[in-house]
Amino acid sequence: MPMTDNQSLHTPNNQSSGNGVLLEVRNLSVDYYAVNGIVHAVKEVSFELRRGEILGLAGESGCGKSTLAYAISRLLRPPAYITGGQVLYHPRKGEKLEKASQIVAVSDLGADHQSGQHAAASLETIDVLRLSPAQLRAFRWNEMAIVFQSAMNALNPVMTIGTQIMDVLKTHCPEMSAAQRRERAAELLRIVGIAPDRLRSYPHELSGGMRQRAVIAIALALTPELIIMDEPTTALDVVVQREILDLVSSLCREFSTALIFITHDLSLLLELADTIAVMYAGRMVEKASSRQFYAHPCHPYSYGLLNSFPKLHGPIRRMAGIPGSPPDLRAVPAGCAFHPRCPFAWQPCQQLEPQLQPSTAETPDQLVACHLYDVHQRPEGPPSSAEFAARYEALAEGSAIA
Amino acid sequence: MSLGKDLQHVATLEPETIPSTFPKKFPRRDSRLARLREGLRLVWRVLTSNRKVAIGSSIVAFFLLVAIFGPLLAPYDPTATSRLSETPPSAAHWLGTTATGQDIFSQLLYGTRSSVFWGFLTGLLVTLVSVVVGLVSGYFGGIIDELLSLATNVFLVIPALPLAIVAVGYFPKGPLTIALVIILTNWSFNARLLRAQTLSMRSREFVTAARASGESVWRIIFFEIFPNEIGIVAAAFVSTVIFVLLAWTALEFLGLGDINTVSWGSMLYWAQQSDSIFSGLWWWFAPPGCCIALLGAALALINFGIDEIADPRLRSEVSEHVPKELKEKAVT
Amino acid sequence: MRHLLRRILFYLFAAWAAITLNFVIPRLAPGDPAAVLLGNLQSRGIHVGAAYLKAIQAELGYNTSDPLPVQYLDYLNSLLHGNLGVAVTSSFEPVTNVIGRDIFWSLGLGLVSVTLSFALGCLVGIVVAWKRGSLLDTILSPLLNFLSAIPYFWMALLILYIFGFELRWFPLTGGYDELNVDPGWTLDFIASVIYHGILPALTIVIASVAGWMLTMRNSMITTLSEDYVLMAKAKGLHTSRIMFAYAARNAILPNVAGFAISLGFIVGGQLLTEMVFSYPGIGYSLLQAVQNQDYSLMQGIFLVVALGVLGANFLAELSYAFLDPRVRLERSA
Ligand SMILES: Nc1ncnc2c1ncn2[C@@H]1O[C@H](COP(=O)(O)OP(=O)(O)OP(=O)(O)O)[C@@H](O)[C@H]1O
Ligand code: SF4
Ligand SMILES: [Mg+2]
Repeated sequence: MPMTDNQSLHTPNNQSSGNGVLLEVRNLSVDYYAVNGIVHAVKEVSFELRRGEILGLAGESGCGKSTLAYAISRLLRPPAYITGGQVLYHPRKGEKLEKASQIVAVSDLGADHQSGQHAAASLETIDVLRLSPAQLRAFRWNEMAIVFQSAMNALNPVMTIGTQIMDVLKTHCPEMSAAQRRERAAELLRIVGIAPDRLRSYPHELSGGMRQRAVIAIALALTPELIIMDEPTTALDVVVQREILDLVSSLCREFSTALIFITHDLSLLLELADTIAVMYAGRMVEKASSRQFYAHPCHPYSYGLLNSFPKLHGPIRRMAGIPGSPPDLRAVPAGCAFHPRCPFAWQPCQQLEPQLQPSTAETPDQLVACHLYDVHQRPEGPPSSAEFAARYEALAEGSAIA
Repeated sequence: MSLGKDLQHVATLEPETIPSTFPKKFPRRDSRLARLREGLRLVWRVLTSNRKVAIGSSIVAFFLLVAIFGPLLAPYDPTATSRLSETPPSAAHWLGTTATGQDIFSQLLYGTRSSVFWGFLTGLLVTLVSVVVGLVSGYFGGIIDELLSLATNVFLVIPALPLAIVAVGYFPKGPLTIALVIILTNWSFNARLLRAQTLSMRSREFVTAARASGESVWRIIFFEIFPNEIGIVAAAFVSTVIFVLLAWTALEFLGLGDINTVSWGSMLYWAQQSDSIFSGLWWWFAPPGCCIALLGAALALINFGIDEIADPRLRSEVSEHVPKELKEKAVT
Repeated sequence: MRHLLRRILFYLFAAWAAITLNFVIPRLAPGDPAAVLLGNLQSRGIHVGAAYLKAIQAELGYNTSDPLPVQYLDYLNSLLHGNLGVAVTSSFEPVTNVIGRDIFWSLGLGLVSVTLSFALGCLVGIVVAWKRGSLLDTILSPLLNFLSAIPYFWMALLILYIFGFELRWFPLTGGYDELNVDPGWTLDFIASVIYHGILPALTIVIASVAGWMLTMRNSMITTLSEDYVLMAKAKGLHTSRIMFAYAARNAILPNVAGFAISLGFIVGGQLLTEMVFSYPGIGYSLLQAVQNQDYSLMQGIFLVVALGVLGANFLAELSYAFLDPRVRLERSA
């Protein structure tokens, strides 16, 4: 079910907007200074996102997905602190230039940038983590919008949906008249499939699915380059979940918006995402196009995740899953964080931390952090799929006996 | 018709002092004794784990000690008059003397005994009434609940002090009258709180089990449910004592208590009667008020601490070990 | 609509309960309050006729041959006609006159100080929660916690002593300068009223502001961790907009909901404050009634205060429904 041939229709290139990199995350680390210790929720995560690309971020609960999303959008609150790394954003040239240049013009980064002559000048990179509060306000929602897990909680309960949409327009497009704002808000609701007369409704008067649509409408208000969605569908039932997913994917293609879609449900991502990134214990352990990922998950953890839900097609396999539970992020195991649960773990795994790098020379786009793919550690090359299956089955049996 | 339940939404927030999450902290054990012990242990943990609670309880403990042993240390008979009237604080009279030459420091020590004793005793009785009304109302539901809730809500909206003044005025002056009147006017607040708690606990499995095993209703209410609410009751008691102290001193200040016993309230009554302000005798009216405020603040502090324990979001940031440059960088 | 009707019924019931308590309490009292009152009067050299004694006894429920229900109906009837008896302390003037004269002073003082302390408390609560953990928060919050435990009348004594007696910035007693100003809508009179009202109002504000502020602070802190506040921030809205329209607008609801309980407490405190400042409101009359065992006046004042507080609570509930659309929905359902 998840993987069909029309996947190729939306493989990660978007002709209209070009293949330029939109967002670069470099060695980003986040710690929670909790009362009972320091939680390393995100550790040295790096990745790139191209314009219009849909990146799916997967991983077990508590592995740091939300923390990563909040860090990128600078929404972390104490006791969470970014302890290192960079988030670089490349504004688009063209129609959006005006908007972007406002940010850069006031930014100290634009060394040789003159606000008057933005015609051909390639815009400076925006260092998101170094924006001043004022710059940040201008950057937010114009360039990057975020959709939270629970729409009920993300909407102000005492304010109408319309006001919550128009708030954005009022702040970011002061030149719009009240009537224009109302017009635009109604249009946005129509786009996400809500009757415009709902503008005057309060959140509690809408159904769960409608609320999530309303939140998406708010996210689209300024047609941002990037939307981050943190488990936008978990609180919804399956049918509504599907509708929302279809809506999200069609809207992103229509507006060629890049999307970071967070979920712990891999099967969703296989349908929706161009690229899939898997996190484990605060680290990114694998990143690949969803095609490659589905066909051949490289990291033992990815393999376990992928095989922990049933497949409709293909040979019937024993449902393996991954025995054990994720580590306490205050005391992550040395070496590869996954080694206590990994069916392949051997001596180097306990000492050396594997780095994210191409799995093989032939697949430069499939990145994995595992010693199995390191020729220095394992000269005989990575194990085959059959070997993966066998090891996991052995592990499952072992844990069933124990 | 449920007139009684309608006030519920008026307090969507549980009264500031007692968080609704509190009782959830109790592990549900089978043995009642274990549950009670668990509750007491929680109270102890609460007493020691939070700084606010620790400071507050130390001050309260200090007042309790003064109440017990203070009069033994009093240098003078608190009611004995002398010719040394209206003298400011000195070595002989640490807090000066009254218009009739009584030693204020000695009065304060004796007054602490009376005020603290009656304050805590009345607080206990008020809490007792609230517990009985709240638990019975919450457990039985139906018409009993309707009636009790209605009474609770009515007493909640009728202003307590004016009612107390009228009621006290008709009865013989004395601590018993004041205590009864304060119980009459102050039980409703916590009764409502405990009713809501009991309501949510009524359908828990251990209650159902007890019911199935044929335990009597009263046993279920007071031996099964009550031990689970011990924490919230303790918090309710603390806030009740504050209110009782304030009401008690107010009534005494108005001369509605026994003006011949020495207490914080009666000291203030006499200070006011003798126009101590207009003679500049600040050492007369200042000390008893300070004591009330200090004890009240200590009790309030305990409740704030309990709040923080129950709702971690209220805790002040424990970020002393956060590197400074991180804090500075994190401006959003 | 049905909800509103039920609330109205509830408040009518509460009013009836207050009225009935007022009837029952004297009849529960041991001894004969009328005799006490009479003795009190006589000891001060005032003589009253036998007819008056009978009237008072009837009012308080002594030595009447009427059965209780008849007494109760009589009582309700006289209430309906605005008859609350006569006030012995002010030379047998009808109680309604005494209260009618005092009530404007009390209402004025109460409205101004409750409004001020509510607004100030909420505002400070918002700011302190927003700047949580800052110097302001660490100093102000414990300080206000301490203030909230101070009895109103002692605060009044202290303020009177410091600003009235020691510094002599403000007058010591009264509602206006009775020697030099005539009551009326003159600038002098209004200025004098304000001048005399500052210390009592200050007392009430200081003593009650902490309650509003601490509730607001805690509620605001809880609200600030809500997703919708984070989303407002993510939307790039201005700080003031996030702070007020998103966070405070929600955080204020518990304060409005708790208004009933706080108001009863503040009104009690106001009565005591008026007593200390000899402010010409009903509090001061209540003090005189208490000191002279003037039962009719005491009861009349209780009744007026109770009904006033009930009315204010009803208004607070209406405004709550206005502020919270979720309650409005229940209402129409
Ligand atoms: N306020 C906090 N204090 C301390 N630790 C925290 C705090 N918030 C989150 N964490 C820890 O940080 C880690 C990452 O949390 P995060 O919310 O990013 O996980 P997640 O991957 O989004 O999980 P989920 O799928 O459940 O949403 C978790 O292990 C969690 O325990
Ligand atoms: S590095 Fe070692 S332990 Fe970690 S996933 Fe690879 S094989 Fe398993
Ligand atoms: Mg999450």
